[in-house]
Amino acid sequence: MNTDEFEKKLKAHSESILSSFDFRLDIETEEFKMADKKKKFTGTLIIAAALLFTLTGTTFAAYKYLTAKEVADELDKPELAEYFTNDNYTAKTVTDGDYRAVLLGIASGRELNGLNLDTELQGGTYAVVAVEKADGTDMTQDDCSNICVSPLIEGFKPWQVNIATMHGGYTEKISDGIMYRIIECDDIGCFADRKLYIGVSDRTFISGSTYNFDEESGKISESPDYDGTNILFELKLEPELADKDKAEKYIKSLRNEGIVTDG
Amino acid sequence: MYSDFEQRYRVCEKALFLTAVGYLQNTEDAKDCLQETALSAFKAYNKLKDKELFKTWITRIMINKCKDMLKKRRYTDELKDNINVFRDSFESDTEILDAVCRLNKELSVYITLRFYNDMTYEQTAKVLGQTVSTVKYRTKKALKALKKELDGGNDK
Repeated sequence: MNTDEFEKKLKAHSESILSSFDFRLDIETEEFKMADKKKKFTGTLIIAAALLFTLTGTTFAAYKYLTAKEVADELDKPELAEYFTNDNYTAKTVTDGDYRAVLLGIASGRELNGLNLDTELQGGTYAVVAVEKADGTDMTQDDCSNICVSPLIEGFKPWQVNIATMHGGYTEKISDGIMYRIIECDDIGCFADRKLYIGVSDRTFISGSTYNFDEESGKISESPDYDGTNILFELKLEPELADKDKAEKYIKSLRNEGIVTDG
Repeated sequence: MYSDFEQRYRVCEKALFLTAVGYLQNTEDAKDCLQETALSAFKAYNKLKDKELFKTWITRIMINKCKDMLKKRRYTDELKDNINVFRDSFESDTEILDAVCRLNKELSVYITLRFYNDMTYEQTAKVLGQTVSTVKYRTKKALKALKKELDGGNDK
């Protein structure tokens, strides 16, 4: 049986089963009657009804992806989830090569400090990213291990200053075929007077083939010759987060570690 | 307002039930899910501005309810072990429905929305919050899996 015949068979089955079985909910129950009565009241009950709608409406309008808060909850980072409750970030989506990446949220040290969260979260930068296959197939664990998500800082070579060298790490999970990853590393908020990025590439390590670096201007860009995924999300951190002294001290420490070798 | 809601709800009630059965693999759970769905939808009905979107809207609510229920409990009983809602249906129909229930729930929903709810790819994409190309791809995948299931696990 070919696909068309099989689809026809299912259509016939659908018509047949829908007409043959009996199912009818009793929607004249007390609950429905109460709900109907409540709609006729004014004042505080209207507020309650509006709240109910808000909740249900949220369910209806739910986005395809989990929110940054939901990801943080799922990955057992309740304090980060608390920060993202502020809902202060609009997700950005970019499709490139075989993958589609969504930057769901970003938080840096000083913003988090203001919330009096656990010290574990203070002083770091966190980004929540979703990555899925552009063709709609599910992400596998192997796909995930090839994905590199890293903060990048204008003025520093991406292959020198990235998640690995900024003492970073990540946790991730696959849900509904989509990879959700939270990356964390040293705070990059002090560099807020420069262009900051979250790079998403399908290479395990960042190299000169995925991102270009202009030695003169320090500008980082996606390498147009790279035949794969090399996305750059430009971050918009509050300029007040910039701290030249702290930034200089940090780069000095990377030089001492032999990570930054020039510039 | 109640009668308007009921009229629209009754048109898609059975299709919604079959979709819930496919998702939850259990007719009792599907019934509970539909009860919750109907109540939530009724409470929010007057806020649904474009009533023509009712079917997409309530299906979306129901799928979210199904997901919530799956998080809370998991059943492995097959359809035949549940209440005999389908006692008057042809055996061949219950066999197909059984096979739909045996599919991975992430796949069965493409079958139930397309065939029982008579939804287009565009409508399904709207309900599931996915792109049309994703829906097309996964529907194909689901059809293949269902065919395999009905063929007794053999590719033919």
